[in-house]
Amino acid sequence: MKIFLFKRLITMIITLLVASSVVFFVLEILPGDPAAVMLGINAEADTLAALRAELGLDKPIAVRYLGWLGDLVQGDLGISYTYDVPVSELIMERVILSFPLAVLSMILSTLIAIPLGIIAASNHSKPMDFLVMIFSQLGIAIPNFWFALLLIIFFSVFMGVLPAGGFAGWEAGMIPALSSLLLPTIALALPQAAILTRVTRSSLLEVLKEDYIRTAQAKGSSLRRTLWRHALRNAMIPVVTIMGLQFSFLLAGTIIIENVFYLPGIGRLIFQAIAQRDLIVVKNLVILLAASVIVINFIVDMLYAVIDPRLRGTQNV
Amino acid sequence: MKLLEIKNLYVTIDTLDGPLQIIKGIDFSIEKGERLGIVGESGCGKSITSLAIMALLPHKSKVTGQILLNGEDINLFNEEQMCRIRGNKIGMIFQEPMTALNPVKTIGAQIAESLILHRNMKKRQRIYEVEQLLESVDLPVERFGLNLYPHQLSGGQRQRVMIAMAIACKPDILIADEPTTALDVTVQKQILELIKELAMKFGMSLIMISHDLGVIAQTTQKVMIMYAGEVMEQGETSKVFKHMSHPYTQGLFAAIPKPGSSRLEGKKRLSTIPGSVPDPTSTLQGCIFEPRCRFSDDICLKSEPEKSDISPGHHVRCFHPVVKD
Repeated sequence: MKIFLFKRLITMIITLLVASSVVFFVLEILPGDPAAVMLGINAEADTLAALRAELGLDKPIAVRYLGWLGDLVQGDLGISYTYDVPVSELIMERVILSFPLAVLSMILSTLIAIPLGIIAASNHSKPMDFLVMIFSQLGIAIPNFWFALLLIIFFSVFMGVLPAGGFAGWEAGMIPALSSLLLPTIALALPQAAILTRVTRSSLLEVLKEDYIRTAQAKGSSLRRTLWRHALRNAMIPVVTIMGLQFSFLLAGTIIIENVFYLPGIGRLIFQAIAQRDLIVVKNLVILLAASVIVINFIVDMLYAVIDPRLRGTQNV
Repeated sequence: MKLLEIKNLYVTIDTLDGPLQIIKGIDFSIEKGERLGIVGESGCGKSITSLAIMALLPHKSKVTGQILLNGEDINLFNEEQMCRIRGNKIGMIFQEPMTALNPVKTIGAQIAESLILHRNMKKRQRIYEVEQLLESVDLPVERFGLNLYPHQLSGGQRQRVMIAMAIACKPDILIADEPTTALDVTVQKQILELIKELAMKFGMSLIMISHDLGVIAQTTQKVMIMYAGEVMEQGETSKVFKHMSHPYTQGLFAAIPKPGSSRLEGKKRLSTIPGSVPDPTSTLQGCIFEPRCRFSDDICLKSEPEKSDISPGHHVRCFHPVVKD
């Protein structure tokens, strides 16, 4: 297990290095000079050069890459060109919204999907199964921004119980903050849950065909007990894989829902930074997102090993 | 009263092309402590028969006839009642030790499962019991701890774990469905010996399913030769092996390679039974083995043979049983 962990850590570091250089060099060859963007089209040549020197854009590319990596490790992400505040502050402001939102959506979607998947699989080809599959189809087919609007119309406009948008901020207290996250959480969780339900169901159905399921039944284990004790854990690998992918998406891919609810999240920040050519924000945000995806994958791999002892690299007798 | 008595067992499976009869009215019985062998080619219905007894066939299949366990017809039992029979009164060893064990559970937990389900035991006593079971299948606890996972064991070791699982509750009947087919030749004999020994030690009746006549000869007292869902010949193993009366039994026996008969040594080819098992969808008239039989004539084409006695306790379903001397 220790060797397994160590190997995974090394791979993780290498992946991070590769990702960082890709991010850096791709942004480097993109057309568009940040200095020119900041000063406008009428800027004088020497003012431009001065700003470029100030931003460090005149140094050789390798020096800048290494300098960036060094700063990154120390937590210094530089100053945003457009907002003129430290990038780390800018990102942190958004993370305290986006991260809890992603976690909440993931929890909600799991709480819906796994029980539904189990119900569908244990009632395979029966009315209950079809019902769950219809829910899942709907969840996948309905665009989540439209579903979000429905939620706002119902809970905010009609019932008047939840805010229609905006984020109260954590300093306003847990209850206002969480209630402003509740509708976005539901809107984000629905399509995720729909997909996860399908994955859970099909993975369970696959596992229920395995020989060891029949063995368990031959020992006198009822179908229900067999499903919980023998099938479920074996069926979890694809489910955990999808959950990892969904969580990565939830961290930054939620810009539409953020816009519907006027939430200052990571998705919006990255969109604005790209639009304004605030490359220093883009670069650091992208590498941080890449890092979080890599960390999530690492956690998923760890979960695989927890689920399946064959992946722990244990020795034979 | 017989321990297990199967009367007029039919198994029908619903397919897209309509119902398919897989087992066509077989009868057999087994006494306490008796060892019965079921032999036949792949697809002859020997595994289906054992799964029908356990009520573990897919839901699309229908089992009719009587399966009397201690005089009680377990074919009428519901799922809940069957759960109390499986693992408790009837234990089963499956063919594929590589896939028949749950990869994410320790062998200790898997052996303990039937004890949890059928015996009311304290945890400590259960652990002791599992250790005893491991010892009895020659997996010493010092080397094979309860916390090992199946993938850490070899095929033969896994099959031993499988056996320990099946006998955990000392069932009245142990069904072994091709227990050595997936194993290395060198371990096959050991596993067979072990199963036979344990059956005798705990007074369990044994149903040994195999396509290997050698396996049957080694382990059983009674034998039943099956072909395409029907019983061709049945009786005491020694009598059947001495006077193989059905052409099919003879064909099976002739198809066993014998030392000194290889082609390299200039001897004749290994004998085979011409043709293959009839497609279960086809509706043949007459004797089911007729198309592959070298003794077939008009009567075999027209009508189905009834059971006839060769000697007491040995009967055959054939119009032209081979009679030696």
